Amino acid sequence: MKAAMERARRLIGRLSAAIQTIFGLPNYGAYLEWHATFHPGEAPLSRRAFYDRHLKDRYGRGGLRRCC
Amino acid sequence: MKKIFSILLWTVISILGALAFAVLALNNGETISAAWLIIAAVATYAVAYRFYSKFIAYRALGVDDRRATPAEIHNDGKDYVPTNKWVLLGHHFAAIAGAGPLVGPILAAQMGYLPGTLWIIIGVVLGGAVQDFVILFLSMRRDGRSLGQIVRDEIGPFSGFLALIGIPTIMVILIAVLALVVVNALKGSPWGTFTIAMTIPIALLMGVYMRHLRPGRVLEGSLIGLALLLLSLWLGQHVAAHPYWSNLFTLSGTTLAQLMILYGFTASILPVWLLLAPRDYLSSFLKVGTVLLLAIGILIVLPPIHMPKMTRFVDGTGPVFSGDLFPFLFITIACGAVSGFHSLISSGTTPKMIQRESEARMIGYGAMLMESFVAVMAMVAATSLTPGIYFAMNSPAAAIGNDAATAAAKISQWGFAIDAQTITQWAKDVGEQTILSRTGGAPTLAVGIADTFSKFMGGFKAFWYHFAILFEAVFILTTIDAGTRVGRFMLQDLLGNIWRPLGRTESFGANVLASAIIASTWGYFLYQGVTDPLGGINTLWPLFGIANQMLAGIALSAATVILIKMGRARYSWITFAPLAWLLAVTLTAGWQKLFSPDPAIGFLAHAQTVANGIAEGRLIGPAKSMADMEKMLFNDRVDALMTAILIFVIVGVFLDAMRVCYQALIAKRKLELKEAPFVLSSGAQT
Repeated sequence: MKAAMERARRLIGRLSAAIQTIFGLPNYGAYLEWHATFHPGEAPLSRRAFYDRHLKDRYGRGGLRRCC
Repeated sequence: MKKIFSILLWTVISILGALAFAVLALNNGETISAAWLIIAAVATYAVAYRFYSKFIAYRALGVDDRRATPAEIHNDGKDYVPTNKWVLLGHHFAAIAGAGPLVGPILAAQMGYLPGTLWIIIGVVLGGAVQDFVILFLSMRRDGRSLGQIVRDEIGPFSGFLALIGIPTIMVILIAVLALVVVNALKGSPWGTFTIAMTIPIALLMGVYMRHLRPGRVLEGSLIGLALLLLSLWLGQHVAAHPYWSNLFTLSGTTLAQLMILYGFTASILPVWLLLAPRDYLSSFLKVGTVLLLAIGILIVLPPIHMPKMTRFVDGTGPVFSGDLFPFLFITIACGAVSGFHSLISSGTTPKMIQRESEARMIGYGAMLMESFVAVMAMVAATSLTPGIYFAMNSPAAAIGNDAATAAAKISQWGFAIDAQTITQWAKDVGEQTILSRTGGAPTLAVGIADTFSKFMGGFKAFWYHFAILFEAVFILTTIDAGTRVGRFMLQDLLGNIWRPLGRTESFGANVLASAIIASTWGYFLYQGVTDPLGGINTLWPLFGIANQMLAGIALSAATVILIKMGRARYSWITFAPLAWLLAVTLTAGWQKLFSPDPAIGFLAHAQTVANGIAEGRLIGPAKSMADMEKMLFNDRVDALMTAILIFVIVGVFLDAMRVCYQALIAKRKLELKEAPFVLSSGAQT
């Protein structure tokens, strides 16, 4: 039972990560993981700061791309 | 054994596809099932993907999985992120999908189902998907550089400059034409207008939630937004039934246009987290939602096609758009067959996320096949309607009049029997006061979706209609706010060269100035479209089609030059053949738009008619005063100028590209390729 729940949770996690990538949404969890791998020991951005950086990248100069 | 099975399988698929094409082409008069259209499309996609895209990938481009991709080399956790190929396919499709493939085929349906469908299917496998895939690959080989940079690096600074002019031009036309589609869907529709108006407070709420209450929880915020959106959809029905509220939300085309210009301007100067970002998230979901909804509905119902395979309007006299099948069909359907805009997306975020070079094939070529399938679905939705209803919705008031009786008489006279009562009944069924002259494709698609869904959900046609309108309008409107912002950046880049402070994107004054210029530029074309007696779509959609194909021409020119520089000249026909076709189409269309003696097609001929009217003191068409006449004359000249700019850009880039090809092939000069250096992938077997 517990194992099944755990598996379901992981599946939902993977699914929401996929949805976030597909729609280009900010994924804080993935960022933390990346940060821990490539910059161990340094403090990562806060959730709020991470979201602000995402907005700047996505909607700042050169970031926006729209199709017809 | 496996090989024999494979040969057998592909033989069966090919025969099935050929059979479906035979049914489509040889059918005479009786209605056929939409299944044949779908089989013809899917079989062709499958064969093209399996054989042609593989040939392009391994023979022409030489994809090499031993070479590390930008995602692997830079992996910065932000832009360069190695991503699973299926997720990336979804990402790329969500980025290229838009209103284009939903609108074009619906307009093209006036010529019957066959010409448009053939162009969508053949155009995509030989043109559109090739462009998307090749540009994706080339950008991936260049650290994910944008199309503009690739053109400048590989063709030359002159072409780079032309692309710099061409891209904002197409942006302005795109925003105007899409805004016009929404205006035509919402005018005189309190239910639709209320629901769309509600998306603004909903977005503000989501914006505050995602930045201050639960920072960065975009999925959560979007779910709340979606729930509120459905709530306002349900509320809209009661708004429409209430005398006071209904009156408040019944707006004319011109009022809607003014509101939209104001909205685009405001969204461009407000902080993005407040309005633009939350709307953009919502709209991404709704966009994919609309497409899925349409596909599911059509695949379940498989409606019969009522439109003949070819109508009398292949002669160029149709009410939806004017001009002959060649070239105008091929610019009316751009997205879904070949869409130049995709070259901007293929050189955007996607190339920075690919894990292995070979995966570019599925992502670039595959996603475009999916978009083409969406266009086929839109074609099915339009042609499964009774032709009489189709023409009632898509003909401008100047052609069919303003009341059901006149319209029915006129359309029946064209040979598509319909009576006034049926038209009124349809309007009532979808909860609107009228369905006449709702040009622009979106309402026709919504009626098609509503019709399909009410068949297997047992009614609620009015609800499904407004559901579809809401979905479409929200994702189309995002092009307006986001596009105004993109345009603002482009303009600020340009203005910054003249006087530095104007280029500062964080300066409020410069921001307001640039936003106002951009919003009023597309606003001008929108307003012109709204007040145009021919419904505006008639004028603006061909301009948009020419602009879009022009961009594809730039992308394919760059691709051809690069293939030759790579020493793969014997494969350059892969991009050169679609380039030659698009040049023929855009230049013929552009030429006719400028110089056709028929005032219904040529801008200058129309300007001449108006000028003669002014000279003789005689009013023409919708003009109610001499001031109106002067305005029409000015509009015609602006449209002619736009067409001339587009022609100049594409011819300029093409000639510049041919200059480089000449140097490489005939003068035998060794030209430098601006590829990123080879880095061995860590996953490669050595």
